[in-house]
Amino acid sequence: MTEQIAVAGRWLALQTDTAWGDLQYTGRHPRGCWTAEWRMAPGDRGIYRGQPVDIYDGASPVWAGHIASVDPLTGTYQADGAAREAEKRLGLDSGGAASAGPTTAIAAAIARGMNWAGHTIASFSGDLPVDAASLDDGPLYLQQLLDAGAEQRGEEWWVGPDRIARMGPTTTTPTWFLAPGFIAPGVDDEEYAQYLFGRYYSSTTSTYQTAIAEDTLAPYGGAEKAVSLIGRGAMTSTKAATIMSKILQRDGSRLAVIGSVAVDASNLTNAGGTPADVRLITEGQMVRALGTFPDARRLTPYIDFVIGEVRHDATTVVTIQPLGRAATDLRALFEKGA
Amino acid sequence: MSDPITYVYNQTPAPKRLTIGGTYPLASPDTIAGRPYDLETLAADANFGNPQPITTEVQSLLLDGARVEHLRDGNRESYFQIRITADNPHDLARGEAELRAQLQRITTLEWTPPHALAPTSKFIVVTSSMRWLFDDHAELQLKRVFGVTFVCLPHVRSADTIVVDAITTPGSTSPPTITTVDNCNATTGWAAEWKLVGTSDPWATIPVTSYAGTAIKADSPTAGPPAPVAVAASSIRVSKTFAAFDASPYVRFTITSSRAFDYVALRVDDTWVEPILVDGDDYYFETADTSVTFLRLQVNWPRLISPAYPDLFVHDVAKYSRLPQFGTARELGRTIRVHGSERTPGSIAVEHESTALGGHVIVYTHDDASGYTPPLGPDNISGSSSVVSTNVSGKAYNLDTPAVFEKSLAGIPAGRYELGALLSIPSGSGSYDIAWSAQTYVGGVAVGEAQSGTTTITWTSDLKIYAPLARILLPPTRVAPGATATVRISISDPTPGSGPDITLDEAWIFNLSIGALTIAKTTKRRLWIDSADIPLGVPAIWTGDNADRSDAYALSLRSQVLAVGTHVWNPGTTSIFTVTEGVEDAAVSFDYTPCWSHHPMAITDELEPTA
Repeated sequence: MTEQIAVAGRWLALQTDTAWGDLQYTGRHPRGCWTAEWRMAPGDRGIYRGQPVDIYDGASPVWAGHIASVDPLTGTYQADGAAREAEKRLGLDSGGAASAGPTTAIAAAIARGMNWAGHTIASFSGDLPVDAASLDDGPLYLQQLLDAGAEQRGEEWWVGPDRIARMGPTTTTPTWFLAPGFIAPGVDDEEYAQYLFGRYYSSTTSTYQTAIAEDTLAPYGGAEKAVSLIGRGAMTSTKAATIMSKILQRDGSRLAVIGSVAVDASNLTNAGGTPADVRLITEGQMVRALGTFPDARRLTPYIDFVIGEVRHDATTVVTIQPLGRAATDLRALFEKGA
Repeated sequence: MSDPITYVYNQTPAPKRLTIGGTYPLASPDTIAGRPYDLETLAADANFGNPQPITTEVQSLLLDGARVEHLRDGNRESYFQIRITADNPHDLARGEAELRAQLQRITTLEWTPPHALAPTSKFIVVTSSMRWLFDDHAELQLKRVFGVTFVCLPHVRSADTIVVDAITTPGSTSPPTITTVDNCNATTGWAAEWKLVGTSDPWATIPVTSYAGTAIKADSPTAGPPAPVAVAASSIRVSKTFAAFDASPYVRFTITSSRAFDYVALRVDDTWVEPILVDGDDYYFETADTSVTFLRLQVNWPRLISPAYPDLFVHDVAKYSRLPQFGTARELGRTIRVHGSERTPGSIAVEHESTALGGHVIVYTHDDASGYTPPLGPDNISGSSSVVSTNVSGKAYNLDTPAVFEKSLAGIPAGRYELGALLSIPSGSGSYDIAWSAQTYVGGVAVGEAQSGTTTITWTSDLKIYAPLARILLPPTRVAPGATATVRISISDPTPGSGPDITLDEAWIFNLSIGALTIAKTTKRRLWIDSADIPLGVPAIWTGDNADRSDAYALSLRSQVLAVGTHVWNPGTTSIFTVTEGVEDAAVSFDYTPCWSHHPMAITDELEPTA
């Protein structure tokens, strides 16, 4: 394992009582750094819940988060990625009032101690993703605010190993090329939707209305899905239509991929044909699986998929799960239901 | 298996050369003075155990079987039956108690095979335990047999530690004085021989021709097995007899080939030496010979998929008064030989007698034979730079103009690289963007896709910092084996004119697929990097002023250590590259204990290249 762990600013490897092993860390797109876990000798190792965890490769950070769970009896340590602090922080402004602006809420949460280094997200001022009046019931969580903001822009948000929150579109350029005929992911229409029906509360008519977004290309069949925008408060029909088209663009007309693929230097290269070092594979990158037709009508013999989750461990093989993977096992179905 | 105790009385004692910790013999009674009991190790079921390979299956399209990757070796378990005999029950129990006192702790199990010349194998015992093998008949004879299991590290160590001394060139100042020995413009006096490695065929004379008037070419036979059959490993050696000259301290050969070779050695009169530094196509050899009349360079190629055996080109032979440096003598490289058959822990020392090493101290090690070296400064082709003799590179690049570096692709082994740089701002603090790009060039023309990005670097208190700019896969586009190509790396301020002037001292590409990188900050004169070893099982970085480590303390904070490398010491040659920001000519030495699968070899200084 070439990665090294620093907890609360100390290198575990360089302290006599904190030799570690079996490190695994994962990243997800969207969200960024997701989980990390490793093992140490049983007993109190001076590592406690909430301490910042950074994983480095050379001098470059590759994962950031905080200790989420410590089990001194078995010596198992788990850390949650930096993005998951947003699950536990309320969307407040600097005065403590409920905020509808994701960037305002991030700055205020950092001031209250959230361990993010900052953000590069453009301000939502004038186009808040949530109607301020709907916050009279109480504040949303920061994650809900960021989700709403990202959905409104047809983008995703994530927090990288530098602890900076970013929002942007999912890449459309492949970073990696999977050798033809080697391992091909299966495809599924489970997650696909051609029509999205969005219910929202109209700010002009003060009634519940429906906004419809349609994928006119309809390459994979006519699946329909309902989406609720009611939690965001009153909005105009224009805004509802924009949000629906962004949701369709981001989530709807996408081929769901079944299963995960294990890749290594023998089957994955960069665009220039150099065999991959699997430690450079991160969530959010696009992989072009060559030699696979996505459906009977396409002439392009490849599938592009974005890496939705990647798990790194000590081996030279890494397992990647495509974004929008259909929930085909029990664990995934539970996670989806949650 | 039947009960082991039924075998005990039929066996002769094992050789009298098995001890715990070198001091507690598990031997026959007559050798141990002062023991009121006899202790014997029985040959029955004696077993030193074997390293347990830890592997993982790699997904493949094989119908049957699987590709398997060997990750590491697990511990071995050694087992011996030890018989205690005494004159009375008290001494019998005392023998048991004294044996028990040696167990369940970290120690060594040392075994010297019976032959008089056999070196001692040291097994590193992690823990051990004993089991009583009860026998009513033996109890009547005041004998007891215990089965003792030693859990040991997988590999054995030599009995002695090897110290690789630092390179010192007293009284010499940088840059080195270079004296031409042979500019290779003519073939006069040169002879060449060729041979398949590992065969009993004799060396065959091959022609030496002039190449472009600037090099000599040793032409290997073209007739080989037809492609695509793998061509066997081959070897070429070129020799020349000279009028006696002083070759000390260093001789440099500049050599190239159409295919990557994996071994180079030089015979200076009667003594073979391996390179002490490899930088691109330049191979430096150390010699104390002041009256040299004969030089013979041998190069070995691995098995290749190629229609022809590779040729060797020698471009220049020169004598150096000291090893060259990269930029200034704050950046140094050297190659060392690691003995043994298994990778081993070791300790690197970076030292200076009078001046503090840091700011930053960078130690990077790798064991690739391509001539790859990390610094980009010596390969600068454009940019806006000024001379700053106290800088690591000897220059300061203003990044308002892109600083562009071009390295030969042959010297960039494919893998995962950290692009890092020493960057400065004139005052204050803040976050500023740095743009970078990497692209393959063939014949001076960009090919394939460029890799590029922008990284935000934050200065908090120090004005000059080591900043990791990117983790990238190099080369961005690969080229055919033997093709001439380069990789250009550009580093710049994407918004020149806004914010402070950002200056670059030196930039590096560290290959983390094949090497390990440690970066520490110290204001002391010495730094040691110890590999993880028993008993602590963790690596350590120490710093201090005294050579005996009497004032050394551990660096373990993220603010003191920017990167922790797992430096791996594989048998063969390993390159060590060091940067000491604060001082020129820091001495770099290394000590380690050779590690072997089961039995150590006696280490000698004599070298005979494989052919």
